[in-house]
Amino acid sequence: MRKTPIGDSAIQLHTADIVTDEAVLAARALADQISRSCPPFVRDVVAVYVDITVYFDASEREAAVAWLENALASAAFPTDSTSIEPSTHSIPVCHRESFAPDLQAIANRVGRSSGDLIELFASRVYTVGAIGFLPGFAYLLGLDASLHSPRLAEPRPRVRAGSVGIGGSQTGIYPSESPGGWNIIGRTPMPMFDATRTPSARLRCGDRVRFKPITSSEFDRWK
Amino acid sequence: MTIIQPGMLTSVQDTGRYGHRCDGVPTGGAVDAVSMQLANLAVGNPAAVAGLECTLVGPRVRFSQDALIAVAGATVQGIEPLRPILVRAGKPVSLEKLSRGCRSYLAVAGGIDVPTVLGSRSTALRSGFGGFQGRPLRRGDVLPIGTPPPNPPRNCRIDARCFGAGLPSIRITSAHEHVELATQFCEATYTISHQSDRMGLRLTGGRDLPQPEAIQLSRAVAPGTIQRPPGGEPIVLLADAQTVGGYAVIGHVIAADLHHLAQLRPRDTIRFSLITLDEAAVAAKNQRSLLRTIALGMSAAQRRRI
Repeated sequence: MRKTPIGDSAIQLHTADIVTDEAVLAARALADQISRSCPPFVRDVVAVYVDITVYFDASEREAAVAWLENALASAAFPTDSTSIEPSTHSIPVCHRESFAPDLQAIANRVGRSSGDLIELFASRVYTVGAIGFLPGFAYLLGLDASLHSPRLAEPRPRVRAGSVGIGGSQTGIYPSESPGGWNIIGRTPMPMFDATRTPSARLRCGDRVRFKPITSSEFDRWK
Repeated sequence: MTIIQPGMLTSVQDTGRYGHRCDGVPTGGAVDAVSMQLANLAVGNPAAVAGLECTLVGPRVRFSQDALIAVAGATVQGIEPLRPILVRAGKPVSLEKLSRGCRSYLAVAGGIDVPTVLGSRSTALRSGFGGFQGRPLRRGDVLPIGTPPPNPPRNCRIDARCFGAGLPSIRITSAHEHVELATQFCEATYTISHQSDRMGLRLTGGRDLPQPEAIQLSRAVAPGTIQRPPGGEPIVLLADAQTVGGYAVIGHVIAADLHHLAQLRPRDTIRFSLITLDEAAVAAKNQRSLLRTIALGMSAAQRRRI
């Protein structure tokens, strides 16, 4: 497994060369195994797609490197992906016009109705590739190739919390209000991040996600 | 503690939020964590408790009971740095005029006793949680102060010169086995842009650098990571930076020099120098020993009631 230093306080493990749903889940499972035995000078273990980054106190670099070698030697990897069961989430999304400022533009470009687009979007099962950008922001893999859309040339100064967007080949949900450059095609009423809970993010790397279209009144009634 | 005037950007910060990067939560905390820790030690607090981070123009505050305070980081006009100062109840304290640096840290004996969120009292300003109501302080805010340590220090002063203020350059390690890009990066002098904040320092003066290879999917980054957006100027990530980034990376500022970045003001100029990971580890160890030595000295002084 290739290891790359990320400065003096982190090391990145490259667990696979190709990003697949299985490889993402296997990397997450390995990150879970490693983090079970963390000494205090290891601060974070983070899976991002197929890379795992281990962050540590820079003044304990030697100890961290030695610990990581041991942790990897005793970890079961590659993990048999059939033995790890990913969580599956159903996320309600309302595609009403005011929530989906970029839906029609994508529909026009693809040459289909926005209804077809919503149906296509909801027909896929997505895999959480990474969490980042914002607390709880999930980068989802598995978008139908016809829906791939370049990011906006000018990012919006304000994207509302819950907005569901398409950025390149990925889709994602803004957990909180933020500037953003993804094409917004809907909004979920389901909170994606809550700092008062542990874990604070609803989704984890390797999890599966389905989007369920809901009406405006279902959105307004959602609790 | 009551905020009479909030200053430009004053927030509750401690030494950061760890263990939640897997949920996309930045580490946050004091951008100059060394100064935050030194200010705490000067009032007899454990190094990691919460204080105030003040930016460019600090606040004016008042305490409802006598309080022991200390400041560190950028120079605060009228307050001797790193010395415990007893402030009488009701008497306003001004941290408004900051010079020689960008951020000052105010520690109060007992610490700022806001609730812990995800293991830290730091304010996550971008996401709006932690600290005091998840936001910068405003006029009229009243912050709870914790129980002061027994036998607080009185007549002592910490010397912070050993932390190397006024370094000729900020030390970095290369992001790649091939060091050409990082070497070239270190040849230029950069100016800090006005668009810098707690998430990152934007540098100007690096336009002629070769463009590193673009990356396909976002990768983990860390405070200190030097990013190069396509066609743009370099950005050095700071405490509030997002946990993953999609830009090409030139190198990483070493952990022991992050606190110097925190003190750079817009229009300041800066140079970088390339060192090895082994050299960076020595610098990190030295910094930790200095902080530990000061902490031991302070607790010995408290036992003797200096």
